[in-house]
Amino acid sequence: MSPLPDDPLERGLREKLLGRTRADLARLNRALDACDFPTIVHLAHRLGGAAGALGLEDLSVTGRELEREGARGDAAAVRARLGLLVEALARAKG
Amino acid sequence: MRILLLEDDPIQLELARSWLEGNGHAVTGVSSGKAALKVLERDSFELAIFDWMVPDLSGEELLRWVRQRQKRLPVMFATARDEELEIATVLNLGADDYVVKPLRRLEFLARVDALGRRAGLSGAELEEAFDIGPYRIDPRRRTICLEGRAVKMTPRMADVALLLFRKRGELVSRAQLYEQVWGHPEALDSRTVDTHVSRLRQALELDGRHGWRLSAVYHHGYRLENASPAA
Repeated sequence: MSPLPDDPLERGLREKLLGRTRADLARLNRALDACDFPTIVHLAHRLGGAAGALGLEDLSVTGRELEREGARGDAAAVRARLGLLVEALARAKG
Repeated sequence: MRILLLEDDPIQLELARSWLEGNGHAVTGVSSGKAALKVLERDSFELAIFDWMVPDLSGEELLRWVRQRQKRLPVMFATARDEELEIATVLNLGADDYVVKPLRRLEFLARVDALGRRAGLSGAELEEAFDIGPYRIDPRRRTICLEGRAVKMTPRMADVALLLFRKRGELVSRAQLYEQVWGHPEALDSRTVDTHVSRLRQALELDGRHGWRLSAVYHHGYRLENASPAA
């Protein structure tokens, strides 16, 4: 079952997650430029877990795919996925 | 249940904690493997939930540590992937259950409750009499026999004894004794527990002569220890 959308705590956590992910985008881009895949995997891993548990499925799938691509060290795929992450973030609502 | 929850992401930690607390559990949350070890050394829990991927300690190291010291503590891992190999690894290393992330509230809570039941923390199993060496403990009657003779004790002392026998080998914190035996921790003087434990040690002769010793763990609580390898 999806978490209750009207729960104030979960609503607050969704807002917090969206803010954090916006900030993480810069870190992810820097990590990609430096071929720092462990950082990409770490940030993507926590995004996938947190977004999914909070019912933000689109963001969660993007995070999990990013984690897989980062684990493979696939820079091109990561770059493309970061573009999708920007779009998913713009669509997401707290 | 008293649950130790290890999750390095503060958002996921807060969310899982709120789900568990909303279901009546008492949660201690930590965000690193080393912090989890520190808490496990000074407090006792009925269930541990660990994220498999924490930055400072591998899930394997954490599990090995727990299994060396607290064999009966039920451990559930949260894994990121539902890959067969990873799940098999987690279970083969001694975890009692796993849950795949992202966590889903109802499934997560149901797994926690099921693990608690399997560990004998609820239900009919808790009422069955059991033997530990020369001691026979009967939870339903709140009586304890030593070598066949009933030992005189108050119902409160019997409750303390029952908890210590169930958790034998593990540290039982004062907080846990307050919570599970008295139910109103804020109203108690810490000497209340110490007095009950002291009387219990004397009444049940838990000084090693029958194979079990009730020891104080400085500042933390008590541990009922096996005093002879053959016991």
